[in-house]
Amino acid sequence: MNVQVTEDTMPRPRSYPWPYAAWALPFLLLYVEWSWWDVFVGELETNPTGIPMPIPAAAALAVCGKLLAHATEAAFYVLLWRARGARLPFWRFLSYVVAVSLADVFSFNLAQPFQNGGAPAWRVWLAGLHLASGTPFHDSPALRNAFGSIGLLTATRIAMTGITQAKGTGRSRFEALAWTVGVWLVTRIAVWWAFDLIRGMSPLGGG
Amino acid sequence: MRPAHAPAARAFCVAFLAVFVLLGVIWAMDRTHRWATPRLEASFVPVRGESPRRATSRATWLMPIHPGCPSCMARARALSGEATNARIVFLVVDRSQPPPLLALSDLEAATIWWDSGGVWRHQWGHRVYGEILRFDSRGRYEETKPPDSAPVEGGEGE
Repeated sequence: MNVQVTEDTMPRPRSYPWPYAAWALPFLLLYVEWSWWDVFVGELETNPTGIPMPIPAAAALAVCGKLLAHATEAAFYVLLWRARGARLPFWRFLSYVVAVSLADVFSFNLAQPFQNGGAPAWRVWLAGLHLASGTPFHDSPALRNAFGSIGLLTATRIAMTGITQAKGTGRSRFEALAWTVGVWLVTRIAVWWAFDLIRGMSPLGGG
Repeated sequence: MRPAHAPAARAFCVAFLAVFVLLGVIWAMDRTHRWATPRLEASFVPVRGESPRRATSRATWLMPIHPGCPSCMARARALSGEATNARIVFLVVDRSQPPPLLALSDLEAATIWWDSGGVWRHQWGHRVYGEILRFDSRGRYEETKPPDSAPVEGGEGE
């Protein structure tokens, strides 16, 4: 018998709590966004872009972009699971996505003082292989932007994102993690290709 | 009863995958394309200073610029103030009309050409403003320095 899958027939998760108590949620999300703002200010001070606006304002704009990226990521997974016949509550999942992005903030802050190399091994393992010297990431900026962030903190963020989806959809952790790793891989390859297309035969520095 | 969303979500996932595959195909075509080696084209239109047809005994540093790009114009201003023996030429790219001289007025004592035929982008395959293409004194292409590299290092441009 064919049963049309609708939102009503999709299995609902048994328990999918918000990441924090309701009263604390706005404060914690504000803290995460402020942390991102701080990261962007540091990046813009180190690497001026020539954008004709004050750095704090440009960083605020970048935070809005980051939030939009988080919303897009959450919406993508909601649609992915809906296509697979499961329901993932958007706003709850988005709050998890924003919260686990703190791992990236931590990673940026660990990497920031070592943009020109010389990072100790523990920082390389945590913040990403782009900090290690003598790797292909130094020769190819496209590869560095795509996969240079591979490290324990990125792995933790991917794992948390997957486990959260498993909790939200009621599906197995293996399935959710496999999809999350797959999507991460696809998006990083897309970043690699996009970088190459943007630069063409022009070399990019920063290696 | 609510409408079924699963087919729409499936269509979205298929579209996502299709865009990914399309991007991969475009990337592969771009990477395997045989781009021409840069050279000092006689077709470049002189806007100010020496003509591209005129022979020079000096090395040439060619920087592609666009008047609408503030960061690359700032880099061009910095390069025009550098002390070097190389001939510095700014190549205005990605413009179908001749560049406005007012926008280029603060590039002092520099030779400016206009790439009216889109050679830099469409024949050489280059796409980043502010890079420096280096040619030797015979006009042969040597290398391209990325935009964030130091333009002058230890007596080059001899």
